[in-house]
Amino acid sequence: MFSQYFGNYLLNKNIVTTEQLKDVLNLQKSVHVKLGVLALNFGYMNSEQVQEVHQQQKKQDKRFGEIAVELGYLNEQQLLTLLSSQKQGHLQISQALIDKKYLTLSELENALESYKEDCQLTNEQLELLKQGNIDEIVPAFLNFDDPTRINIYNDYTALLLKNIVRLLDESPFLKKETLPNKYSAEFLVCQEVQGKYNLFTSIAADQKTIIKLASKFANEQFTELDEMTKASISEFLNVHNGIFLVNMSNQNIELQMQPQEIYQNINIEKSNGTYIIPIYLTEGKVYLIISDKKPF
Amino acid sequence: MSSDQFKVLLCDDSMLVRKQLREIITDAGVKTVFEASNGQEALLIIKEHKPDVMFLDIIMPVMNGIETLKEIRKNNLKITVIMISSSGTQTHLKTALEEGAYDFIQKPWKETQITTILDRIRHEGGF
Repeated sequence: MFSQYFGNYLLNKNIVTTEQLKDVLNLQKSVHVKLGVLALNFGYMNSEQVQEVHQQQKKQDKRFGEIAVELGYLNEQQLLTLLSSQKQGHLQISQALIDKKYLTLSELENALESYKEDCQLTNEQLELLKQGNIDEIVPAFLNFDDPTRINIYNDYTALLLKNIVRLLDESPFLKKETLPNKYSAEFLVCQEVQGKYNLFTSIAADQKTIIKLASKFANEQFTELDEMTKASISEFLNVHNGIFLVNMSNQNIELQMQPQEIYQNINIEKSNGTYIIPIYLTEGKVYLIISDKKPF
Repeated sequence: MSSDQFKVLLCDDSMLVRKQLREIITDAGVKTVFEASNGQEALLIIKEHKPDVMFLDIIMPVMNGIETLKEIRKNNLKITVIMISSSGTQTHLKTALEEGAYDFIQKPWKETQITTILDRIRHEGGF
């Protein structure tokens, strides 16, 4: 997950090209993350210190960790943390970028630092992102300003991201950005949830993206926006909302939902209580529109 | 009753769901499958064709699954109803079972859930 977020950032900042990003995303699964890259990611060492340890390794038959501790760049506890993290997959994009020589250690260090600053992430939030903790990522990226609904909207959005992974086999990510004030949807499917909380939920995108997502959900190859394609994306929203209702029901909050409705070529405007949230996919984006009432 | 006479009704407003369920059920050897997109259509088919089993969605326009189940009970219609819905909330589960549903499958389903339950019903009914 961190790969999608950080990789997209590097792309937008022209630090890597699309081809390079695709290359590292493909490569990262087979990459062995080295301790130097890990130490940079954790912020325990800077790139100069890592390079110095690399130089020392050429002169003496010692492991990276041993030398770093000897030089006072790492303490024992930090080394243990790095070693236990080495097998986790979330840092492999960094290692792949280094291995392919698309970035130097110093450039990687700067990119990580500017990513953290630009996204206004705390160290803790960055760590949660690296761990792939979706529930914690959503509040770090989205600012719902309605205090009575922050929790439910965060939960709803996090569940949608999980269901996009689970049911559509996509790798969605959010960006730290000002949410759009309006959106002209080529296609929109909506469903109303009623009860203790009234939610009006919609998924919208251009036709091409809808066809792609509908194909993934149905496990069939759709080529046009026909009735079966519409039924598929509509059922995705229904299944997602159903899971949301079950989650709420498990917290003893009983909600009901209405049948889905489909609209084409419709304009949505942000008003009080309406949020238009772009969710980025590998190719294209889908919009979650969430509101306390029908926004159109 | 022979397996050739075993009839299944699929009631879901999603044509995708009906298509996918039909494929699973015909692959499992059921020869007669009816389709309805809401409870009202389903009740007409039940009265006319007397299917043995119905897979019934809950969230549907015109007449939802819970209302349909209540009508089936009220009219004493003989059919085994399996609820198949994304909305497996405690309220829906409780109401469906109280109103006589045989079982409840939460969407998204797995093919084996459908075939297992179908086999069980056929076995119990001697089909």
